[in-house]
Amino acid sequence: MKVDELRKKIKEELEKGNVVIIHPAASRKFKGPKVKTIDYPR
Amino acid sequence: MFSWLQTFVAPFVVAFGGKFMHDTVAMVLPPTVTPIDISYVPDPDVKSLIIGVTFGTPREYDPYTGEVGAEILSDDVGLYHATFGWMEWHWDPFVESILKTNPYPQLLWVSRDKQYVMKMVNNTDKFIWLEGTFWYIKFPKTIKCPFYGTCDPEDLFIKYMRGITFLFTGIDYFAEKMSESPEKMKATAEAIIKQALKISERMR
Repeated sequence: MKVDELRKKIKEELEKGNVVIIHPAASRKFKGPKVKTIDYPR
Repeated sequence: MFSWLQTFVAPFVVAFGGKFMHDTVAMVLPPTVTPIDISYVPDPDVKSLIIGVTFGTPREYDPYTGEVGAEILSDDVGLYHATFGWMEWHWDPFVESILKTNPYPQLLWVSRDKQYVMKMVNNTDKFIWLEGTFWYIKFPKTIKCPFYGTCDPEDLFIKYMRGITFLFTGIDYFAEKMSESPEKMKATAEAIIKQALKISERMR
């Protein structure tokens, strides 16, 4: 994922009121109804 | 990391094959009137002993430019966190005494069915960028252990820590009795040593 894409994705999720978590295995390690994970960098 | 870890926890880790790990994450928090629930979930086949958390510096985040700005130190921002059986729910505001106590010491076991749970609070009108690290030792869900065959590493850890406490309080108790009745205690000590040697012989 390029940095611009990453920034766009963070913005979209923040606008929905979600917390964004970024880690290479974020989707496996963090859960929650208002949690959006980005597996980065990979 | 901490001297008490080296003294008492490190022998347990080495003896039972714990593997050192950390997870460093970045997080962006929106302003929110309702705390946001986050669970930190270990892999299904492991139990982890969390030994500390390191907080980075929370900063303003501009979602339009992606720029990270000024530091935020405020008790309007922070987290509640807990782990069943090991840490009660409590409030960690993002103030100096919390954020600058690095690493923030912890000693608690987490697993898929006993997660590290947090409620993130951001009572400001700003988006906040934060990064932090969970430091932990990873164990398989069952391990081979002396006397018990196989066991849950968390249960064994409790037994081990209890054993250390009993040993030291036992020494104190023994010393007290020794001063009251030296002859009787000498005989008791000899009997204990004899018994320990027999057990040790049988275990070879």
